[in-house]
Amino acid sequence: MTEMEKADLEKISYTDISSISIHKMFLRRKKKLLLIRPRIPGDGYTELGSYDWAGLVKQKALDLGWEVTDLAINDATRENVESKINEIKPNLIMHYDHGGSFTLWGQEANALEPALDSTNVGLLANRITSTVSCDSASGLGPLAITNGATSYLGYDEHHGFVIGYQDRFGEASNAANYALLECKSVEDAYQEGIDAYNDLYNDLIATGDIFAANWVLHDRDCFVLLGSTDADACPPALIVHCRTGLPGSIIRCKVGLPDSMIEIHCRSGLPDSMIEMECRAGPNVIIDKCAAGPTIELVPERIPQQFKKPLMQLLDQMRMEK
Amino acid sequence: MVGKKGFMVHGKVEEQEDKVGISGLLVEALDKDFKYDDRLGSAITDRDGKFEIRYDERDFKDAYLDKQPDIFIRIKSPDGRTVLHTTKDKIRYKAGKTEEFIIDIPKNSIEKEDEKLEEKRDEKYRKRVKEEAELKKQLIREEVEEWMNTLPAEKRDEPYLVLGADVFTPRQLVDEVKKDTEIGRMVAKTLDKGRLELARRKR
Repeated sequence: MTEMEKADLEKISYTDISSISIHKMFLRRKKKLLLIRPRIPGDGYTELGSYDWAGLVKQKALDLGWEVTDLAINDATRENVESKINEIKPNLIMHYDHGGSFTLWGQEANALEPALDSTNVGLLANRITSTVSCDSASGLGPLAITNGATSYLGYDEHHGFVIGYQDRFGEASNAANYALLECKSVEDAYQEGIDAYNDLYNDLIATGDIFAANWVLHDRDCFVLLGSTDADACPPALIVHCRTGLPGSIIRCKVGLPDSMIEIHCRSGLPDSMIEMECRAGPNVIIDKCAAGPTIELVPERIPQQFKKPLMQLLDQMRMEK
Repeated sequence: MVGKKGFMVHGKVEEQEDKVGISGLLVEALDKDFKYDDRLGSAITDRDGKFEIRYDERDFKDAYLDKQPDIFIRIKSPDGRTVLHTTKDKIRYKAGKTEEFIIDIPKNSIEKEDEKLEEKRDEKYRKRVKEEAELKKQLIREEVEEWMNTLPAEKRDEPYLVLGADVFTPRQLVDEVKKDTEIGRMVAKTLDKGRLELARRKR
Protein backbone atom coordinates (compact mmCIF):
# COMPACT_ATOMS: atom_id res chain seq x y z
CA MET A 1 0.00 0.00 0.00
CA THR A 2 1.46 3.38 -0.95
CA GLU A 3 1.79 6.25 1.49
CA MET A 4 -1.02 8.03 -0.25
CA GLU A 5 -3.29 5.05 -0.04
CA LYS A 6 -2.52 4.76 3.64
CA ALA A 7 -3.44 8.38 4.07
CA ASP A 8 -6.71 7.72 2.33
CA LEU A 9 -7.69 4.83 4.52
CA GLU A 10 -8.48 5.30 8.14
CA LYS A 11 -9.81 2.55 10.34
CA ILE A 12 -12.44 3.54 12.79
CA SER A 13 -13.02 1.34 15.81
CA TYR A 14 -16.53 0.65 16.85
CA THR A 15 -15.82 -1.48 19.88
CA ASP A 16 -19.42 -1.95 20.87
CA ILE A 17 -20.36 -3.58 17.61
CA SER A 18 -18.31 -6.70 17.64
CA SER A 19 -19.46 -8.16 14.38
CA ILE A 20 -18.83 -5.10 12.25
CA SER A 21 -15.63 -3.28 11.49
CA ILE A 22 -15.62 -0.09 9.53
CA HIS A 23 -12.88 1.46 7.45
CA LYS A 24 -13.33 5.08 6.61
CA MET A 25 -12.03 5.82 3.14
CA PHE A 26 -11.57 9.04 1.27
CA LEU A 27 -12.65 8.26 -2.21
CA ARG A 28 -11.46 10.31 -5.12
CA ARG A 29 -12.96 10.50 -8.56
CA LYS A 30 -10.62 9.77 -11.43
CA LYS A 31 -7.98 12.44 -11.87
CA LYS A 32 -7.67 13.19 -15.56
CA LEU A 33 -4.78 14.98 -17.18
CA LEU A 34 -4.58 16.10 -20.78
CA LEU A 35 -0.98 16.59 -21.79
CA ILE A 36 -0.15 18.48 -24.98
CA ARG A 37 3.50 18.19 -25.99
CA PRO A 38 4.57 18.79 -29.58
CA ARG A 39 8.07 18.14 -30.77
CA ILE A 40 8.87 19.80 -34.04
CA PRO A 41 11.91 18.72 -36.04
CA GLY A 42 14.62 21.37 -35.96
CA ASP A 43 12.92 23.36 -33.21
CA GLY A 44 15.26 23.96 -30.28
CA TYR A 45 12.61 24.71 -27.69
CA THR A 46 10.63 21.49 -28.13
CA GLU A 47 13.51 19.23 -29.10
CA LEU A 48 15.96 20.27 -26.41
CA GLY A 49 13.57 21.17 -23.65
CA SER A 50 9.81 21.15 -23.45
CA TYR A 51 9.01 17.73 -24.93
CA ASP A 52 11.24 15.86 -22.51
CA TRP A 53 10.17 18.01 -19.58
CA ALA A 54 6.57 17.03 -20.37
CA GLY A 55 7.65 13.38 -20.41
CA LEU A 56 8.79 13.71 -16.79
CA VAL A 57 5.48 15.24 -15.85
CA LYS A 58 3.65 12.41 -17.56
CA GLN A 59 5.57 9.81 -15.56
CA LYS A 60 4.89 11.66 -12.34
CA ALA A 61 1.19 11.82 -13.18
CA LEU A 62 1.02 8.09 -13.85
CA ASP A 63 2.87 7.36 -10.60
CA LEU A 64 0.30 9.41 -8.74
CA GLY A 65 -2.63 7.57 -10.29
CA TRP A 66 -3.67 10.11 -12.89
CA GLU A 67 -5.36 8.97 -16.05
CA VAL A 68 -3.17 10.63 -18.67
CA THR A 69 -4.19 11.44 -22.22
CA ASP A 70 -0.95 12.23 -23.99
CA LEU A 71 -1.20 14.26 -27.18
CA ALA A 72 2.42 14.06 -28.22
CA ILE A 73 4.20 15.23 -31.36
CA ASN A 74 1.84 15.00 -34.37
CA ASP A 75 -1.06 13.91 -32.18
CA ALA A 76 -1.12 17.38 -30.68
CA THR A 77 -3.44 18.70 -33.37
CA ARG A 78 -6.11 21.26 -32.76
CA GLU A 79 -8.74 18.69 -33.67
CA ASN A 80 -7.42 16.18 -31.14
CA VAL A 81 -7.05 18.79 -28.44
CA GLU A 82 -10.64 19.91 -28.88
CA SER A 83 -12.09 16.42 -29.11
CA LYS A 84 -10.12 15.05 -26.16
CA ILE A 85 -11.15 17.92 -23.91
CA ASN A 86 -14.78 17.29 -24.81
CA GLU A 87 -14.45 13.54 -24.51
CA ILE A 88 -12.39 12.94 -21.39
CA LYS A 89 -13.21 16.18 -19.59
CA PRO A 90 -9.80 16.57 -17.97
CA ASN A 91 -9.44 18.25 -14.60
CA LEU A 92 -6.06 19.50 -15.62
CA ILE A 93 -4.53 20.53 -18.94
CA MET A 94 -0.78 20.83 -19.27
CA HIS A 95 0.79 22.28 -22.38
CA TYR A 96 4.48 22.26 -23.30
CA ASP A 97 5.29 24.06 -26.53
CA HIS A 98 5.40 27.49 -28.07
CA GLY A 99 2.95 30.11 -27.04
CA GLY A 100 1.86 33.52 -28.21
CA SER A 101 -0.15 36.24 -26.53
CA PHE A 102 -3.40 34.57 -27.56
CA THR A 103 -2.25 31.14 -28.70
CA LEU A 104 -1.09 27.83 -27.32
CA TRP A 105 0.46 26.03 -30.25
CA GLY A 106 0.03 22.40 -31.17
CA GLN A 107 1.42 20.38 -34.04
CA GLU A 108 0.14 18.83 -37.22
CA ALA A 109 2.32 17.10 -39.82
CA ASN A 110 5.50 18.38 -38.16
CA ALA A 111 4.38 22.00 -38.31
CA LEU A 112 3.03 24.34 -35.69
CA GLU A 113 -0.74 24.63 -35.53
CA PRO A 114 -2.75 26.73 -33.07
CA ALA A 115 -4.25 24.27 -30.62
CA LEU A 116 -5.98 26.68 -28.30
CA ASP A 117 -6.72 30.32 -28.98
CA SER A 118 -9.38 32.93 -28.48
CA THR A 119 -11.91 31.03 -30.59
CA ASN A 120 -11.88 27.83 -28.52
CA VAL A 121 -10.70 29.21 -25.18
CA GLY A 122 -14.07 28.23 -23.69
CA LEU A 123 -12.80 24.64 -23.60
CA LEU A 124 -10.65 25.65 -20.63
CA ALA A 125 -13.73 26.52 -18.56
CA ASN A 126 -13.94 24.83 -15.16
CA ARG A 127 -10.43 23.41 -15.51
CA ILE A 128 -6.94 24.29 -14.44
CA THR A 129 -4.53 24.92 -17.29
CA SER A 130 -0.79 25.13 -16.89
CA THR A 131 1.49 25.91 -19.79
CA VAL A 132 5.23 26.03 -20.16
CA SER A 133 5.49 28.31 -23.18
CA CYS A 134 5.92 31.96 -24.11
CA ASP A 135 3.62 34.92 -23.61
CA SER A 136 0.16 33.34 -23.31
CA ALA A 137 -0.42 34.50 -19.75
CA SER A 138 -0.50 38.04 -21.10
CA GLY A 139 -3.52 37.45 -23.33
CA LEU A 140 -5.01 33.98 -23.58
CA GLY A 141 -4.70 33.40 -19.82
CA PRO A 142 -6.81 36.40 -18.79
CA LEU A 143 -9.26 35.58 -21.60
CA ALA A 144 -9.52 32.00 -20.35
CA ILE A 145 -10.33 33.24 -16.86
CA THR A 146 -13.05 35.57 -18.14
CA ASN A 147 -14.41 32.55 -20.06
CA GLY A 148 -14.74 30.49 -16.91
CA ALA A 149 -11.36 28.76 -16.53
CA THR A 150 -10.65 27.97 -12.90
CA SER A 151 -6.97 28.93 -12.92
CA TYR A 152 -4.23 29.52 -15.46
CA LEU A 153 -0.51 29.17 -14.86
CA GLY A 154 1.83 30.41 -17.56
CA TYR A 155 4.37 32.98 -18.66
CA ASP A 156 3.59 36.51 -19.76
CA GLU A 157 6.84 37.04 -21.66
CA HIS A 158 9.21 34.79 -23.61
CA HIS A 159 10.11 31.62 -21.77
CA GLY A 160 13.66 30.46 -22.26
CA PHE A 161 16.49 28.27 -21.10
CA VAL A 162 20.23 28.10 -21.34
CA ILE A 163 21.61 25.16 -23.28
CA GLY A 164 23.68 22.95 -21.02
CA TYR A 165 21.30 23.68 -18.14
CA GLN A 166 18.12 22.56 -19.89
CA ASP A 167 17.47 19.77 -17.39
CA ARG A 168 17.74 22.22 -14.51
CA PHE A 169 15.49 24.74 -16.25
CA GLY A 170 13.10 21.87 -16.92
CA GLU A 171 13.00 20.92 -13.24
CA ALA A 172 12.15 24.50 -12.33
CA SER A 173 9.50 24.75 -15.05
CA ASN A 174 7.98 21.44 -13.93
CA ALA A 175 7.92 22.19 -10.21
CA ALA A 176 4.52 23.88 -10.22
CA ASN A 177 3.06 21.11 -12.37
CA TYR A 178 4.35 18.41 -10.03
CA ALA A 179 2.63 20.21 -7.18
CA LEU A 180 -0.63 20.38 -9.14
CA LEU A 181 -0.42 16.64 -9.73
CA GLU A 182 0.02 16.20 -5.98
CA CYS A 183 -3.33 17.95 -5.54
CA LYS A 184 -1.79 21.03 -3.98
CA SER A 185 -3.61 24.32 -4.39
CA VAL A 186 -2.78 26.41 -7.42
CA GLU A 187 -1.24 29.03 -5.16
CA ASP A 188 1.01 26.48 -3.47
CA ALA A 189 1.95 25.07 -6.87
CA TYR A 190 2.81 28.52 -8.14
CA GLN A 191 4.94 29.15 -5.06
CA GLU A 192 6.75 25.85 -5.55
CA GLY A 193 7.51 26.97 -9.09
CA ILE A 194 8.93 30.27 -7.83
CA ASP A 195 10.92 28.46 -5.14
CA ALA A 196 12.37 26.08 -7.74
CA TYR A 197 13.50 29.03 -9.85
CA ASN A 198 15.07 30.61 -6.79
CA ASP A 199 16.90 27.37 -5.96
CA LEU A 200 18.22 27.11 -9.50
CA TYR A 201 19.28 30.77 -9.40
CA ASN A 202 21.18 30.16 -6.15
CA ASP A 203 22.90 27.11 -7.60
CA LEU A 204 24.00 28.94 -10.73
CA ILE A 205 25.21 31.95 -8.74
CA ALA A 206 27.20 29.56 -6.55
CA THR A 207 28.91 28.16 -9.65
CA GLY A 208 29.67 31.71 -10.80
CA ASP A 209 27.54 31.54 -13.95
CA ILE A 210 25.77 34.82 -13.38
CA PHE A 211 24.74 35.26 -17.00
CA ALA A 212 22.84 31.97 -17.01
CA ALA A 213 21.44 32.73 -13.54
CA ASN A 214 19.95 35.97 -14.88
CA TRP A 215 17.83 34.00 -17.35
CA VAL A 216 16.41 32.02 -14.44
CA LEU A 217 15.25 35.31 -12.96
CA HIS A 218 13.74 36.21 -16.30
CA ASP A 219 11.65 33.01 -16.35
CA ARG A 220 10.76 33.34 -12.68
CA ASP A 221 9.52 36.87 -13.07
CA CYS A 222 7.33 36.20 -16.07
CA PHE A 223 5.72 33.14 -14.47
CA VAL A 224 2.21 34.13 -13.40
CA LEU A 225 -0.86 32.69 -11.78
CA LEU A 226 -4.30 33.84 -12.93
CA GLY A 227 -7.74 33.03 -11.59
CA SER A 228 -8.53 31.08 -8.47
CA THR A 229 -5.62 30.60 -6.08
CA ASP A 230 -7.14 28.07 -3.72
CA ALA A 231 -8.45 25.62 -6.32
CA ASP A 232 -6.67 22.32 -6.85
CA ALA A 233 -6.66 20.02 -9.84
CA CYS A 234 -7.99 16.96 -8.06
CA PRO A 235 -11.70 16.23 -7.86
CA PRO A 236 -13.19 16.42 -4.38
CA ALA A 237 -13.00 13.34 -2.17
CA LEU A 238 -15.99 11.32 -1.10
CA ILE A 239 -15.96 9.71 2.28
CA VAL A 240 -16.97 6.06 2.24
CA HIS A 241 -17.14 3.46 4.92
CA CYS A 242 -16.15 -0.04 3.94
CA ARG A 243 -17.46 -2.57 6.36
CA THR A 244 -17.29 -6.21 7.07
CA GLY A 245 -19.93 -8.39 8.55
CA LEU A 246 -22.88 -7.11 6.59
CA PRO A 247 -24.47 -8.76 3.60
CA GLY A 248 -24.49 -6.94 0.27
CA SER A 249 -27.24 -5.26 -1.74
CA ILE A 250 -28.34 -2.84 0.91
CA ILE A 251 -27.32 0.30 -0.85
CA ARG A 252 -28.20 1.81 -4.18
CA CYS A 253 -26.98 4.60 -6.34
CA LYS A 254 -29.06 7.74 -6.30
CA VAL A 255 -30.58 8.81 -9.58
CA GLY A 256 -28.72 11.37 -11.66
CA LEU A 257 -25.15 10.49 -10.81
CA PRO A 258 -23.02 8.94 -13.51
CA ASP A 259 -21.79 5.55 -12.41
CA SER A 260 -18.37 6.06 -13.90
CA MET A 261 -17.60 8.87 -11.51
CA ILE A 262 -17.03 6.56 -8.61
CA GLU A 263 -14.41 3.90 -8.14
CA ILE A 264 -14.08 2.14 -4.85
CA HIS A 265 -11.36 -0.12 -3.68
CA CYS A 266 -11.84 -1.91 -0.39
CA ARG A 267 -8.44 -3.01 0.60
CA SER A 268 -6.46 -5.13 2.99
CA GLY A 269 -8.29 -6.65 5.86
CA LEU A 270 -11.63 -6.59 4.14
CA PRO A 271 -13.27 -9.67 2.71
CA ASP A 272 -13.47 -8.40 -0.81
CA SER A 273 -10.09 -6.82 -0.91
CA MET A 274 -10.34 -5.11 -4.30
CA ILE A 275 -13.83 -4.18 -5.31
CA GLU A 276 -14.65 -1.97 -8.25
CA MET A 277 -18.02 -0.67 -7.38
CA GLU A 278 -18.99 1.88 -10.01
CA CYS A 279 -21.80 3.09 -7.85
CA ARG A 280 -23.78 -0.08 -7.78
CA ALA A 281 -24.94 -1.72 -4.63
CA GLY A 282 -21.93 -3.68 -3.55
CA PRO A 283 -21.48 -6.02 -0.65
CA ASN A 284 -18.94 -4.12 1.37
CA VAL A 285 -19.35 -0.42 0.85
CA ILE A 286 -21.40 2.37 2.32
CA ILE A 287 -20.85 5.73 0.80
CA ASP A 288 -21.36 8.32 3.46
CA LYS A 289 -21.54 11.49 1.47
CA CYS A 290 -19.96 13.52 -1.23
CA ALA A 291 -19.58 17.24 -1.49
CA ALA A 292 -22.93 17.70 -3.18
CA GLY A 293 -24.88 15.49 -0.79
CA PRO A 294 -25.50 11.76 -0.41
CA THR A 295 -24.38 9.85 -3.46
CA ILE A 296 -25.65 6.49 -2.34
CA GLU A 297 -28.39 5.80 0.10
CA LEU A 298 -29.29 2.85 2.24
CA VAL A 299 -32.26 0.78 1.22
CA PRO A 300 -33.81 -0.07 4.58
CA GLU A 301 -36.05 -2.83 3.27
CA ARG A 302 -33.02 -4.68 2.00
CA ILE A 303 -31.24 -4.67 5.33
CA PRO A 304 -31.65 -8.05 7.00
CA GLN A 305 -33.45 -7.81 10.31
CA GLN A 306 -30.52 -9.02 12.40
CA PHE A 307 -28.29 -6.21 11.03
CA LYS A 308 -30.74 -3.35 11.19
CA LYS A 309 -30.06 -2.40 14.77
CA PRO A 310 -26.26 -2.48 14.71
CA LEU A 311 -26.22 -0.73 11.36
CA MET A 312 -28.51 2.04 12.54
CA GLN A 313 -26.40 2.44 15.67
CA LEU A 314 -23.37 2.62 13.48
CA LEU A 315 -24.84 5.29 11.24
CA ASP A 316 -25.96 7.31 14.26
CA GLN A 317 -22.45 7.14 15.58
CA MET A 318 -21.06 8.25 12.25
CA ARG A 319 -23.52 11.15 12.14
CA MET A 320 -22.47 12.19 15.65
CA GLU A 321 -18.85 12.11 14.64
CA LYS A 322 -19.57 14.53 11.86
CA MET B 1 13.62 98.51 11.75
CA VAL B 2 16.42 99.55 9.44
CA GLY B 3 19.70 97.79 10.25
CA LYS B 4 23.29 98.47 9.21
CA LYS B 5 22.12 99.02 5.68
CA GLY B 6 20.04 102.05 6.42
CA PHE B 7 17.69 101.93 3.40
CA MET B 8 14.92 99.49 2.67
CA VAL B 9 12.47 98.67 -0.09
CA HIS B 10 9.74 96.23 0.81
CA GLY B 11 6.36 95.19 -0.41
CA LYS B 12 4.39 92.47 -2.07
CA VAL B 13 3.98 91.02 -5.54
CA GLU B 14 0.47 89.76 -6.13
CA GLU B 15 -1.83 88.50 -8.82
CA GLN B 16 -3.74 91.38 -10.29
CA GLU B 17 -7.05 89.54 -10.41
CA ASP B 18 -7.40 88.13 -6.91
CA LYS B 19 -4.57 89.76 -4.96
CA VAL B 20 -2.97 86.49 -4.01
CA GLY B 21 0.74 86.86 -3.27
CA ILE B 22 3.13 85.22 -5.77
CA SER B 23 6.06 83.35 -4.30
CA GLY B 24 9.48 82.61 -5.79
CA LEU B 25 9.87 85.65 -8.04
CA LEU B 26 13.09 87.64 -8.25
CA VAL B 27 12.58 91.28 -7.22
CA GLU B 28 15.26 93.83 -8.00
CA ALA B 29 15.38 97.39 -6.68
CA LEU B 30 17.17 99.85 -8.98
CA ASP B 31 18.26 103.45 -8.80
CA LYS B 32 17.47 105.30 -12.02
CA ASP B 33 20.52 107.22 -13.18
CA PHE B 34 21.32 109.39 -16.12
CA LYS B 35 23.57 106.87 -17.73
CA TYR B 36 23.55 103.50 -15.94
CA ASP B 37 20.96 102.38 -13.43
CA ASP B 38 22.40 101.15 -10.11
CA ARG B 39 21.22 97.84 -8.77
CA LEU B 40 20.42 98.44 -5.12
CA GLY B 41 19.71 94.85 -4.21
CA SER B 42 17.42 91.91 -4.84
CA ALA B 43 15.26 89.39 -3.03
CA ILE B 44 13.01 86.41 -3.73
CA THR B 45 9.34 86.78 -2.81
CA ASP B 46 8.26 84.60 0.11
CA ARG B 47 5.23 82.30 0.15
CA ASP B 48 2.95 85.31 0.64
CA GLY B 49 4.60 87.20 -2.21
CA LYS B 50 6.36 89.57 0.18
CA PHE B 51 9.89 90.85 -0.26
CA GLU B 52 12.39 93.06 1.52
CA ILE B 53 15.58 94.58 0.04
CA ARG B 54 18.10 96.46 2.16
CA TYR B 55 20.76 98.76 0.80
CA ASP B 56 22.90 101.71 1.85
CA GLU B 57 24.21 104.96 0.39
CA ARG B 58 27.16 103.35 -1.32
CA ASP B 59 24.75 101.40 -3.48
CA PHE B 60 23.34 104.47 -5.19
CA LYS B 61 25.86 107.33 -4.72
CA ASP B 62 27.90 107.93 -7.85
CA ALA B 63 29.63 110.65 -9.80
CA TYR B 64 26.44 112.64 -9.95
CA LEU B 65 26.41 112.68 -6.16
CA ASP B 66 22.91 111.40 -5.66
CA LYS B 67 21.74 112.18 -2.17
CA GLN B 68 18.54 110.19 -2.47
CA PRO B 69 17.86 107.37 -4.87
CA ASP B 70 15.27 107.42 -7.64
CA ILE B 71 13.84 103.98 -7.24
CA PHE B 72 12.02 101.58 -9.50
CA ILE B 73 11.35 97.84 -9.18
CA ARG B 74 11.90 95.07 -11.68
CA ILE B 75 10.22 91.67 -11.28
CA LYS B 76 11.83 88.71 -12.96
CA SER B 77 11.09 85.01 -13.39
CA PRO B 78 12.70 82.75 -10.75
CA ASP B 79 15.63 81.97 -13.04
CA GLY B 80 16.18 85.68 -13.58
CA ARG B 81 16.01 85.41 -17.34
CA THR B 82 12.65 86.98 -18.08
CA VAL B 83 11.40 90.36 -16.94
CA LEU B 84 7.78 89.99 -15.95
CA HIS B 85 7.11 93.51 -14.81
CA THR B 86 8.84 96.84 -14.16
CA THR B 87 7.81 100.11 -12.48
CA LYS B 88 10.28 102.10 -14.57
CA ASP B 89 7.37 104.19 -15.81
CA LYS B 90 6.56 105.20 -12.22
CA ILE B 91 9.93 106.01 -10.72
CA ARG B 92 9.88 107.17 -7.13
CA TYR B 93 12.19 110.17 -7.24
CA LYS B 94 14.11 111.11 -4.11
CA ALA B 95 12.90 108.03 -2.34
CA GLY B 96 12.82 107.87 1.43
CA LYS B 97 14.79 105.49 3.62
CA THR B 98 11.89 103.04 3.49
CA GLU B 99 9.67 102.59 0.49
CA GLU B 100 6.80 100.17 0.04
CA PHE B 101 5.75 98.72 -3.32
CA ILE B 102 2.60 96.69 -3.92
CA ILE B 103 2.93 95.31 -7.42
CA ASP B 104 0.12 93.64 -9.33
CA ILE B 105 0.97 91.27 -12.15
CA PRO B 106 -1.63 89.72 -14.48
CA LYS B 107 -2.09 86.04 -13.74
CA ASN B 108 -1.62 84.88 -17.33
CA SER B 109 1.83 86.40 -17.61
CA ILE B 110 2.94 84.25 -14.66
CA GLU B 111 1.28 81.13 -16.06
CA LYS B 112 2.91 81.61 -19.44
CA GLU B 113 6.22 81.98 -17.74
CA ASP B 114 5.59 78.83 -15.68
CA GLU B 115 4.81 76.92 -18.85
CA LYS B 116 7.99 78.12 -20.50
CA LEU B 117 9.98 77.09 -17.46
CA GLU B 118 8.29 73.73 -17.38
CA GLU B 119 9.08 73.18 -21.04
CA LYS B 120 12.69 74.08 -20.44
CA ARG B 121 12.88 71.73 -17.49
CA ASP B 122 11.24 68.94 -19.51
CA GLU B 123 13.62 69.48 -22.37
CA LYS B 124 16.56 69.38 -19.99
CA TYR B 125 15.18 66.27 -18.32
CA ARG B 126 14.54 64.49 -21.62
CA LYS B 127 18.05 65.31 -22.75
CA ARG B 128 19.48 63.93 -19.54
CA VAL B 129 17.37 60.78 -19.73
CA LYS B 130 18.48 60.25 -23.33
CA GLU B 131 22.10 60.69 -22.37
CA GLU B 132 21.73 58.28 -19.46
CA ALA B 133 19.98 55.71 -21.67
CA GLU B 134 22.77 55.92 -24.21
CA LEU B 135 25.36 55.51 -21.48
CA LYS B 136 23.49 52.55 -20.06
CA LYS B 137 23.31 50.89 -23.47
CA GLN B 138 27.02 51.40 -23.87
CA LEU B 139 27.71 49.81 -20.48
CA ILE B 140 25.46 46.84 -21.31
CA ARG B 141 27.18 46.36 -24.68
CA GLU B 142 30.50 46.29 -22.84
CA GLU B 143 29.20 43.94 -20.18
CA VAL B 144 27.79 41.43 -22.68
CA GLU B 145 30.91 41.59 -24.80
CA GLU B 146 33.02 41.08 -21.70
CA TRP B 147 30.91 38.06 -20.77
CA MET B 148 31.32 36.58 -24.25
CA ASN B 149 35.05 37.04 -24.06
CA THR B 150 35.18 34.94 -20.90
CA LEU B 151 33.86 31.97 -22.92
CA PRO B 152 36.22 29.70 -24.83
CA ALA B 153 36.46 30.90 -28.43
CA GLU B 154 34.75 27.80 -29.83
CA LYS B 155 31.74 28.27 -27.55
CA ARG B 156 31.00 31.78 -28.79
CA ASP B 157 29.35 30.53 -31.95
CA GLU B 158 27.58 27.54 -30.45
CA PRO B 159 23.88 27.64 -29.50
CA TYR B 160 23.60 29.07 -26.01
CA LEU B 161 20.14 30.46 -25.29
CA VAL B 162 16.75 29.12 -26.39
CA LEU B 163 14.18 31.87 -26.20
CA GLY B 164 10.80 30.93 -27.57
CA ALA B 165 11.25 29.80 -31.15
CA ASP B 166 14.75 31.25 -31.47
CA VAL B 167 18.17 29.95 -30.52
CA PHE B 168 21.06 32.36 -30.00
CA THR B 169 24.80 31.93 -29.80
CA PRO B 170 26.71 34.22 -27.44
CA ARG B 171 27.96 36.23 -30.41
CA GLN B 172 24.42 36.66 -31.71
CA LEU B 173 23.31 37.89 -28.30
CA VAL B 174 26.06 40.50 -28.36
CA ASP B 175 24.85 41.57 -31.82
CA GLU B 176 21.27 41.79 -30.64
CA VAL B 177 22.37 44.06 -27.81
CA LYS B 178 24.45 46.20 -30.16
CA LYS B 179 21.55 46.55 -32.58
CA ASP B 180 19.21 47.31 -29.69
CA THR B 181 16.63 44.76 -30.89
CA GLU B 182 13.79 43.38 -28.78
CA ILE B 183 15.97 40.44 -27.78
CA GLY B 184 18.87 42.81 -27.09
CA ARG B 185 16.67 44.84 -24.78
CA MET B 186 15.56 41.62 -23.09
CA VAL B 187 19.20 40.74 -22.46
CA ALA B 188 19.71 44.20 -20.96
CA LYS B 189 16.64 43.71 -18.79
CA THR B 190 17.91 40.40 -17.44
CA LEU B 191 21.25 42.00 -16.58
CA ASP B 192 19.42 44.73 -14.66
CA LYS B 193 17.31 42.11 -12.96
CA GLY B 194 20.42 40.17 -11.95
CA ARG B 195 22.10 43.25 -10.54
CA LEU B 196 19.02 44.14 -8.54
CA GLU B 197 18.64 40.60 -7.21
CA LEU B 198 22.27 40.48 -6.08
CA ALA B 199 21.96 43.89 -4.44
CA ARG B 200 18.78 42.81 -2.69
CA ARG B 201 20.45 39.70 -1.36
CA LYS B 202 23.47 41.62 -0.09
CA ARG B 203 21.15 43.76 2.01
